[in-house]
Parts: sequence; C-alpha cells; structure tokens
Amino acid sequence: MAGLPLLQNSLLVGALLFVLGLVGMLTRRNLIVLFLSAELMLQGISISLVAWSRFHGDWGGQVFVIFVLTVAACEAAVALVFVLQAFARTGRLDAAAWQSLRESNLPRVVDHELPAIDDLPADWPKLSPAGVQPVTDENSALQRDHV
Amino acid sequence: MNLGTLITGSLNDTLAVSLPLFRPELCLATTIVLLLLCRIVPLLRRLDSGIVALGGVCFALWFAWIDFRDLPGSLWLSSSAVQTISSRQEIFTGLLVFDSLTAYLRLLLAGFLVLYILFTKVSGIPDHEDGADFYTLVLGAAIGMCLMVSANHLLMLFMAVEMASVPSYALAGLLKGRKTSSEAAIKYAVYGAGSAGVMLYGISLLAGVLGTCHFPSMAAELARIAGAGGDGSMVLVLGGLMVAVGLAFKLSAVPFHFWCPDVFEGAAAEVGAFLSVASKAAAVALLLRVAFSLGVPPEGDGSMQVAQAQVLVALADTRHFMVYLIGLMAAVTCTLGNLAAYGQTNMKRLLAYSTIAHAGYLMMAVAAAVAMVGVAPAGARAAISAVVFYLGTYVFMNLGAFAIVALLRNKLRSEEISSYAGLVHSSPGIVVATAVVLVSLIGLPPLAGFVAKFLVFASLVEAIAVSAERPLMLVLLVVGGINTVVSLFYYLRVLKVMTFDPPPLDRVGESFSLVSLPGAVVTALVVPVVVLGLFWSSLYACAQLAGAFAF
Amino acid sequence: MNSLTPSTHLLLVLATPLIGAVVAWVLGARGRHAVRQSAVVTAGLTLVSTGWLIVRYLQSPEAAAGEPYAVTTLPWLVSGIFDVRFSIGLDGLSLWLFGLSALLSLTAVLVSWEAIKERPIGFYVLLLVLEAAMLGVFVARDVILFYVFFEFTLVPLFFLIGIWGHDDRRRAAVKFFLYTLAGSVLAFLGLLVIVLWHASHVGNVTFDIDTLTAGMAAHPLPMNAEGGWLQLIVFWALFAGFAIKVPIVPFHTWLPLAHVEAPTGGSVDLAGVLLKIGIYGFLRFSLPMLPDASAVAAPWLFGLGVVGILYGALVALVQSDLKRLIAYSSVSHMGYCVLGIFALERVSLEGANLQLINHGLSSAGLFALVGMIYERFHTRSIVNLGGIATKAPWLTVLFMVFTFSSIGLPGLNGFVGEFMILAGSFQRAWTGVAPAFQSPFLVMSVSAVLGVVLGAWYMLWAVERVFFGTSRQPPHGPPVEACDLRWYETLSLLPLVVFVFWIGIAPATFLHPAAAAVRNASSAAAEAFADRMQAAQATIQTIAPTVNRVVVHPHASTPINVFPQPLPSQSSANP
Repeated sequence: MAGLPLLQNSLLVGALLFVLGLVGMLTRRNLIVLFLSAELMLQGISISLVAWSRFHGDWGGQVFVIFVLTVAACEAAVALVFVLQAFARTGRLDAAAWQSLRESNLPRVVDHELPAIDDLPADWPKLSPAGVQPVTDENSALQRDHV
Repeated sequence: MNLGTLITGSLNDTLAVSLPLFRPELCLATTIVLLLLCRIVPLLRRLDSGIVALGGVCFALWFAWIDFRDLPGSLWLSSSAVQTISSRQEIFTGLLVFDSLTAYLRLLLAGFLVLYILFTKVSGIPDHEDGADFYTLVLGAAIGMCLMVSANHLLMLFMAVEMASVPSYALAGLLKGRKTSSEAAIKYAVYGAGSAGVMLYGISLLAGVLGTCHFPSMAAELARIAGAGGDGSMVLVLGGLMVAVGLAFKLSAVPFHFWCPDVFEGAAAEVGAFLSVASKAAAVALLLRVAFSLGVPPEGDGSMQVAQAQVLVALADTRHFMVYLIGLMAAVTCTLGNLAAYGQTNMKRLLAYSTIAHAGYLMMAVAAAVAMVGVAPAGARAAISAVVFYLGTYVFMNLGAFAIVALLRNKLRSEEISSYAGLVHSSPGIVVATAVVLVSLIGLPPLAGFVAKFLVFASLVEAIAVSAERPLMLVLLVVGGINTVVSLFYYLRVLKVMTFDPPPLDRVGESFSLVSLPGAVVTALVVPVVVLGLFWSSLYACAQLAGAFAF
Repeated sequence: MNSLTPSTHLLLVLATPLIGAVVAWVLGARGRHAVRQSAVVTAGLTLVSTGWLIVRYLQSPEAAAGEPYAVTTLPWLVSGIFDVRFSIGLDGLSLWLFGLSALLSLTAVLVSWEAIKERPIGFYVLLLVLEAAMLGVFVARDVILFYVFFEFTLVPLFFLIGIWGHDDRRRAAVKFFLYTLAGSVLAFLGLLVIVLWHASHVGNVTFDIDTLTAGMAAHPLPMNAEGGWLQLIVFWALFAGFAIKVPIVPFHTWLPLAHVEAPTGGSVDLAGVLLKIGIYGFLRFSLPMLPDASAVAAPWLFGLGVVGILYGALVALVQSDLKRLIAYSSVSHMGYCVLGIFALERVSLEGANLQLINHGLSSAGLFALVGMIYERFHTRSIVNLGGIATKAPWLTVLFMVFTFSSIGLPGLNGFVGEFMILAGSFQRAWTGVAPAFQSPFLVMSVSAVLGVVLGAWYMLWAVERVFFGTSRQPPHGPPVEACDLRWYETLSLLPLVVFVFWIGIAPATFLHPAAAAVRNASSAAAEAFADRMQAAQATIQTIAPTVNRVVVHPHASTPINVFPQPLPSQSSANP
C-alpha cells in the first residue's frame, strides 16, 4: 500500500507536535505560552486527522479539521480574554501568581519566586460590560499614549 | 449521485426528519438570538433578559415534553395520536441520534433550566447588565449539553463537549470584580483546553484505526477487528483511554477532578449549581451513550438478529475494557471525593467534592449497566434507569443545596461553613431545608436520594449475581457502602454547625424565613426531594423508558 | 370480647405518644406543669394500653402458634416491583422489649419532673416522639420501616442530649449521633444487599422481614470464595451497626460520654431501651438471615463478649463518677448479652433475651436514682458523696435493690439471666465445640464468671462509699436538701421494682413466651456452627492426628451434661 509510509510519517509529525504541546502545557508557567501549547496540540491532531483522511480516502478527517480549527479559535478567544483580564489585574502572566484557590490546609507551590514587578500601569483601558453604552471622553481618547 | 439529488436528499432529511426532532435545541438557539437582539434595539433594552430566557426555555421544555410523551412505550401516549417517532432515529445524517435517552435527558435539562432561571432571578447574581450575557452563555452551554446527550458521531462528541465547556469557562469568570473568579476561569480554561486536546487525539486514533466516526459503524468495525484477532488493539486501547480523559474531565472524575473544587469555590454559587447539575447530567449521559454505542450493536430489523447476536458476543472484550475503566475510576472518584470533602471549610468547596463523589456513584451504575449488557439485558436496562433516575433526583437535591448556599450568601455575605453557626435560632426553616437536602444527598430514607442510591446499589447486586466482572462489582458495592458512611460525617458536620454552635456575635443580616421569595425558591426545590422519596413511581417509569434506549 | 381488634390496638399504642406529643405542644402555652402532666398521662396511658395488649397477646392463639400478632400491613411505597409496606406486628422476640419501652418511657417522664426547667415543651415532646420511635422499632416488620424507626430513635435523643445535657453535651450528642448513624447506615446497606439478593432470586423486591428470612433460608447469600464471601461481608456490615448500638467493646467509646452528659430521662431511655436494639438486631436479622456467617463469627464474638464483660467491669472499678460507673457497668452487662447470643446455645440465648429486660430494668433504675442523687447533692462524684443512707433511707433501699438486681443476687431478675447465659456458655465450651477448641472456650467462659465477681465488687464498693460511712457535705453548691424520695420518684421506680422481683421469682412467665421465637431465630445459626465444628474436627483429625493432644480437658470424652438437651454436635465430640 503506497499510502502507508506517508501515513506513518505524517502521524509521526502529528504525534511529535502533540507531545510537544502536551509537555509545554505541563511545564510552562506563562499563561500565553500555556494556551499556545494547547493550540500546538490541536495542530498535531489536525495533521494526524488529515493523514488518516488521506489514507482512508475519504473527506471525514479533513472536515473534522475544519471544525477543530473553529473550536480552537473560539477557545483561544475566550482564553485570551481571561489572560488579558488576569494581566490587567496583577500585571503578571505567570501561572504561579494564581494560587489563591487551593486546599485550605496546603501551602502555595513555590518553585521559583515570582519576580517583582517594576511598574504596574495605573490605568489600563477597561471594557464596559456588554450591553452598556461605554462612557467615552473624546479628549482623553485622542490623547492617550497607550491603547 | 449528482449534486442535485444530494442536496434534495439532505434537504428532505433535514427538514422532514431531523429538524422536528430538534425543536428544543432550536428553541434555545432562537432564545439566544432574541437575547442578543434585545440588546440592539433601544426599546427592548430595558426588557429583563431573564424573562426572555425563561420564555424560551419554557418553549423548549414544552417541545422536549412532547418528544418524550410521544415516545413509543410512553405512559402518556394517547392512543389516538399518530405514532411518528420510531424508538431510535438517527438525525442529521447520523451525526445525532434521537431515542428515549435523548428525550429524557433533554426534558431533564429543560426542566432544570426553568428552575435554574427562576432561582437566578431571585438570587440576583446576574444583575440587569450581566443578565443577557449570563443567560446567553447558560443557554449556549445547554445546547451543547443537549448535543452531548444525543451525540452519535465522534465529531459531535467533540463539538458538543466544547460547546458545553467554552461558555462554562466564561461563566466561571462571571464575577469580574473578584480575583478568585478570574482565577477559577483561568484554571477551568487551562484544564479544559488540555483535556480537550488529549480527547481529540484519542478521537483521531479511534477514527483513524476504525476508519469511521459514526458510533454504530465503529461498533461494527470493532467487532470485525475482534473477530480478526485484535489487530491494532493497542492503539484502540490508547485511543479509548484518551477519550476517557475528556469524558472524565467533564464528569470531574479522579484524576481529572482538580479543576472542580477550585472552580466551584471561585465562581458564583449559581454557576456551581449549573456545572454540578446540568454539566454532570450531560456528561453521565454522554458516558452512557459512548459506552453503549461502542459496546452494543444498534438495533436492527428482524433479519439481522443472528448477526447482531454475533456482534454482541464479539464486543465482549470492548465492554470488559470499558467496565474496568469506568468501574475503577468510579471507585477512586467516589472515595477521593468523600475523603477530601471531610476537611473543607468552604461550603461551595464541600459541595464540589460532594459532586465528585456523586459522579462516582453514577459511574458505578454505568459500569454495572455495561457489565450486564451481554448476559442480562433486563438488568442492564434497570441499571441505566437507576442512572437516569439518580440524575432526576440529583437536579433537585443539588440545585437545592446550591440555592441554599447562594441565598444564605445574600443574607450572611459569606459562604464559609463556620458563618452558618447557630442559624437554627434565627432561621429554623432554612436549617430544616438544608437538613432535608443534605440527608437526601447522603441517601437516607425516606428522601429521594435514598431511592436513587438504592437503585444504584440494586444494579450492583444484580451485576454481582450475573455478570462476568463479579469481583469488580463486589468491590464497587463495598466501596459504595463505605463511602456512604463516610459521607455522613461531612454532611452532618454542616448541620451540627447550624444547630449546635453558638451564632457569631457579629452576625450581619436578618433572619431567613421560608415565607419569602427566596424562601419560596428553597421550598420549591426541597419539597420535591421529599415527595420524590415517597412517590417516585412516575419518575421511575420515565427512567425505565429512558433505560430502554440501547436495546 | 370487644370490638377493639389487636391490629387497631397496636396502632393506637403507637399513635398515643405522638398524639400526646401534639397535645403537650399545644398545652405548652399553659406552662411547665400542664406540659409535664399531659406527658405523664400520655406515657401512663401508653403503658396501660401496652400492658393490656401484651396480656391479650399472651392469651391469643397466635402466641401459642408462634405467629405474629396484631399485624397491620398497609401499602406505603409500592410501585412496580418494589414493595415497601407499613407493616407492624408483635411476636415473641419483640414482646418484652416492646413492653419495656412503654414502661421506661413513663419512668423517663417522671424522673424529669423537677429536673427539666428550661424549655419543657421541647423536652417532653421529644421524649414522647422517642417513645413512639422505640415502640415502632420493635414492632416493625419491614426493613425500611425498621430503619426509619431506628433513625427516629436517634434524632430525639440527639436533641435531648444536645440541648438538655450537661456541660460537654454538644460533643457527646454529636459523637453519639455520628457513631450510631454511621453504624446503622452500614447495617442498612447490608440489609439492602439481603433484600436485593432475595429480589434477584424471586423477581420482586420485598422488604418484609419474614419473607426475607424465609428467602435467605431458601437461597442463602454465597459463603465461599467463588461468591465473594458476600454473606460474611453483609454480616460484618450488619455487625457494624448493631455492635455500635449494643455497644460491643471496641465500639463503645460513645456510650460513657453520652450517658454522663445526657439528662436523666435520656439516660433511662438510652440505657434501658436503645442499647437493646443492637441485640434485637442480631436476633432479628443476623442470626436467622446469615446463619453461616454467624457461625463463622460466633467464636470471635463470644470472645468479644467476654472482653466486654471484663473490660467494662475493670473500667467501672476505677471510676470516680457514679454515672460513668453505671455506664461502664452497662458495657459489661451488654457483654453478657453478646456472650449469650453467640454461645448459640438455646439456654444462653433465652437467657440473653431475658437479660435484655433485666438490664433495662436495673440500669434504668440506677440511672434514674443517680439523677435523683444529683438533684439533691449537685454532684455525682463518689468521693464527694457519702452517708446518704441516713438522710434518704428509701432512696438507699431502692438503690440497693437495683444494685443487687444488677450484680445478680439470686431471687432477683439479674441472677436468672446471668446464670442462664453462663450455663449456656459452659455448655458450649464443654460439649458444643470441637475438642481442639475446647480450652479457649473454657478459658473465656471462666473469665466471664470472673466478671460476675468484679461486678459485685465495683457495685457494692460504690454503694458503700456513696450511701454509708460519714456524711460528707459536698464542697460546693447550695445546702443539701436532705429529703427522701418524693411521690413522683417513687411512682417512677415502683413498677421497675415490681418487675425486678417478678422476673427473679417467676422467670418462666417471661421466658416462656419468647422461647419459641428465640429458638427459631437461632436454630439455623446453631446448626451451621455445629456443622463447622464437625468439619473442623474432621480436618484436624485427617491433617494432623497428633493435634488431639491439645485436648487437655478430661471431660471432653465424658461431657457433664447439666442441661439434658440433645446437641447436634454431641456425636462428633463423642465418637
């Protein structure tokens, strides 16, 4: 069967990407990298799905990939909102900063101390709740130095 | 086949067969659109989003009820009605399946949503500004859960799980002003993304080796592989385990339960109620769906009886694998949930562990059901009925528990167990309601929780008597029994604090009377717990109908 | 002879305390006197009615035939194949415990006459609810109903201890409640397994106790490795529930605490009736439904009974608190009951069944008297008391009567029960076990006799220190009102004294009605035990004939058969 080597090679690449993503998820502390790793996992899976699809000669796997991409986009969007919110609140992207919810009798997990923050911007742009007309001051909007 | 016939065919299939059986989900989807539209039109902006959502959900409930009522074998089927629904109907070209389990769980979810929206209107966590977001997310997740219940295809499995999860992440972060809420959302999203990835890899393995994503075809292919000497079975086992990771995440089964206590503690109690009841019910139904779709050949016509019996025998190994996987996970989940609940000081965290433990009991019955399929179909049917009956009572028990937590939070400004000290002096009614709910969660007669747990243990004993996995079933029975005893201690500790401990001197807030709007909500949730404990035959009849889905 | 059918009569007996509770609640507005008067009237009415029902039972043809009497069966939760019924009735096993509950409830109400001044409405209402639950436990003929009544005995007592108890009442109440509830849930799960096993054989899920007993005889739970030793697992589950309730020694820690902290009325009901539910459970469920597992466990529980006797007695010996001393004496006396049950000899079983009543009377009386002493002297400490005999001679006399009853003075009730139990255990040791096991059984039986000596020691010593000697003024508290028994106190104890003498002088009146029921309940287990002993003897002889050397007792070949009853195992012991 001619497709077999192709299948094997593609699956290998897919598995490699998946494992890289998984390892990244388990080891990284930066929230953005964490979600990037999750995306990497999904890309690995997409490659294997396409490979299987080609091997079996039907379109099912490729259709599956389209859906996976869509879902991945949604998930990334939601996750990035949380990351932004987290950053706005603490000025950190380190997952270790988020340990206030844990078993009450267990200590914080500390492998590296969190680095000190030099200057936390006092005023981040805030989104008003959905469904409420934002209150805008045109002057400040024109003159603000960061977005 | 040319394009024209393809389009006409799928159009016919969609419009004539699929969409009429999809009305509850369509209602929910329409409601979401309405909720979003209301926000655009200035005149409608002042309309309460909760009312809109409630209206839409009531329609969904009505349609779900009609679908359930018209099932063959239903008690409420009027003889004059034209019977249009067969017992098992694949819709949307086999992506979804409509059968009695779908109908029952959809009815359950819609009923839950009605109670839930009423409860959130009273408890006031989605305020007017957040209301539209909140209900949109809740209804969106609910659609995902309905799809989980009716999934018949690996693609739908993945899509439904994600559709239920992604709004839940946002719900967990609903309390934007609180750091813990953000933390809960981040943790939930990270765990969710990771487990979804692992599950998807499992799906790709299963789909690749079997060459199909359609559950019944997968079962047939599994049987063929088993007959041919089990070629590639290691990959299948790996794939199965990885898919199980995704399901275990949704079930909050050990060892994929870590998100559960943190999310419940960080998020609002209202969100906890949604996750612990609706999400759990859908996940258990999905587990049933996957286990029975892959472990049992679908019902064919009469001429296929012999072939079907052969497939059933050939799938014995698959079922054996699933029984052990589900059973061991159930035992560990149940034990860990109960043990970890013991030391909790936060009521929501305690309820989170209680939820984990209850997932364990439910999975025990699922394992018993799968174990009995080949040898005692009646027993398997009874076990599935036990599972869905449990879910039915669980709606009231757990929603009641979270409602009490939320409404007490509004009075006391705290969710710590110690803040409930001495409540019996100022608000005896709420203490009695809590006692009913918690004792029912323990599973003592004469409350609903007892009947549910009794049915679960009954299916385990039945499985001990007939199934091939007797040692495992015996272990599950013993573990379940001991866990019930362990659970006494932490549930009753809450009651002890409420009754015996002296009230704190700096108690804020006034007393909580059952004769008030919040009190009425609690009463409405607690009374069914008692009533279902005494008169449970009609719910059990419904559950039996749902239990017949796989055969 | 009258229009009141037995069934209606029994229902009325059960309903009276509940109606009385409602009446007491309604009368609450009129103050403490109205409440306690209505409670006494209710308890008295219940007692008279119960007594009348017992008399009717004894004259009925059902009693002669050994059938349940006054049966009421109403559908309760009947749906599909499930069949839970509100089913009650009286039989030989439950007869005297039923009567004891009614008797001691009156005592409990009367001893609280002056002691309870705070929140009297709640106290008497709970006491009457507790009475209804106790009566219900013994007449329930349905597993679910039994369990519901069982739990309902816990809840009122939980509050009685937790609200009207002494200083450490919260901890005592919670410990009592959790221990008992945890055990009872395990027991209940065990019973459910029995129910379900029965259901898997006959197709419908019945909870009727008699049907289940018959069903377990027809298709017993598996008692082998292939069936997962299910019968043994279920036995230990039931054991957990009943052993905590009895309490058998390693599980007894809740009892002294609960007794010491409980109000006197609660102690009377707890010691007098609630502890009996454990033994009743063994007789009602474990022995008849799980005979093989009972036979396996019997030697161990025989030993645990002896351990309980000695441990309770030794700990009682060193107590300085009179109430705690009596609590530990309860542990010791319940050890006799356990010993009697698991000797699996007819005479000891009947003795144990009688000993339940004896201990109910004597310990309730002693707890009531300790309560009265506490009311007068505001202390229970033995060293602070003394010389009461000169101030309160009648109180002393009554205390002596119950003490002698407790230590088994011939002529009083305690003697009959203890003698039968010990006789049965010696009979088992001499003639009922394989020769290889004879010496351990004998050692255990002799140790049990030692318990009688210890019992006399600690009780009489305590009596000497408390009632005789120099009068020691308690160091604290208001001046001692040195007065003797008041009318209500005499009234509360007099019926108990009557029964103490009655049982002591004419035990047959009480043994006879229960004999057949006890025999039926235990025959299967006794046979299973005999079979095991035969098998064990055969194994020992085939594997290692020399092991016979361990048979040191010369009577092994020539048993002194004090009790001329045929023993199933005699042939094996006498080849």
